[in-house]
Amino acid sequence: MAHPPMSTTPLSAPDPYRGLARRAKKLTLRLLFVLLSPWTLPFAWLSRRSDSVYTACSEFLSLVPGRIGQCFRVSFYSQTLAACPWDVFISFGARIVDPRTRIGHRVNIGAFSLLGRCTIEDRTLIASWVIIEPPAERCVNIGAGSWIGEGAIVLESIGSRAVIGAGCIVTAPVDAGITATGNPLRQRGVVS
Amino acid sequence: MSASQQVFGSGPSESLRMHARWPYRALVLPWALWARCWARWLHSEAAFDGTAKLLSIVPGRPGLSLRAAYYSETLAACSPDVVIAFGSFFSHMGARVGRRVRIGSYCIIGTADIEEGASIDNRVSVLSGRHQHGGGERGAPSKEQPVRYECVRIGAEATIRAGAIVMADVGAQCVVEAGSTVTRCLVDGVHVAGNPARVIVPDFAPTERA
Repeated sequence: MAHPPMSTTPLSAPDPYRGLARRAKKLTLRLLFVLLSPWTLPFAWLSRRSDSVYTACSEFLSLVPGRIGQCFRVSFYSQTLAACPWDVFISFGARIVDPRTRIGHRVNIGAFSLLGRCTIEDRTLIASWVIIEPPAERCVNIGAGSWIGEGAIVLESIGSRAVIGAGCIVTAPVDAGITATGNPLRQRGVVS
Repeated sequence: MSASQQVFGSGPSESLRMHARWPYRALVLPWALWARCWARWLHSEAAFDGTAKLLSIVPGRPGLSLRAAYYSETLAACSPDVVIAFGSFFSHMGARVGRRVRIGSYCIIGTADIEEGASIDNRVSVLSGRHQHGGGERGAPSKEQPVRYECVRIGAEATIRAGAIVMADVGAQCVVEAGSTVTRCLVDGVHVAGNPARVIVPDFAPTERA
């Protein structure tokens, strides 16, 4: 069966406005972050004193929809986590379970992801339904620029610029630049 | 209860339910218009996305009706009799949904073309193709990568069981087992399982067996 071409209007934005729109968007996000930060501050202050309050706040904020919700989440986490800059994107339903987590610049976290204790370096792309859950009291490291596919479960460290396919379970460390897919996890290729 | 087992027709008659849609349509119409304006003039799906997620956590029968009404007003094509359970949302406006489609709880669906009578269980993800972010240089920030959304077709009367991840076309009357990952296009009427998904029964036709 032949399919008509998809009408992906939002992606085919006219070029001359593209850079301007991006800058405007960035400015709006920054402004929202500054405006919303005072509102999350009391909750962050309480969360720093009690783990149960932190859990309750992060669970509630994960259910706030839209860009407002995203800005609320980022401002809350930037006040509570060990490190979380303002340009992180945390999607709907995603939750950072452990406040000792460190997140780098321009990280994207997809919907319904659950992050345990980990260090996520810059420009990492985490899809939806990902679970990062280090066994015991360890801290896993997700390398800079790595991509983690939909529904992956990560128990071990991942090197920089590695790609983990959808639905994979990472039970052994993955080196830098490797593409790994399937279950059990198999290496498919290396990028220098 | 999975989406395919849901008994929807135990209450009022069909025509009564058709008319019962109007208040819900009226409720979502401003949001739908707002989303379409953003998409049309600002080339952004932000408004669509926010409302989709808001409606995904509306519980009970009103939630089902609101989601059906909202998506039939915003998606490229969507039948108003779609059943979308709690927690599920569409992430792009380019999706198409046929008649009698049932979608379970906590599904995330991208630019899919879901044909008539397909049933999708709980926690299934239908991605926007296999190359959503793969175009650019490795390790580049996600915002600077060329994004490519492909249409993923879910064939008529196909069944996708709980927790499956679908990133390639699924043929008509296919059965995708729970927890599998579909990475290659499937022909009509096969039964697949595993990650990556492999065919376990080549000529599986549920209607003939029943």
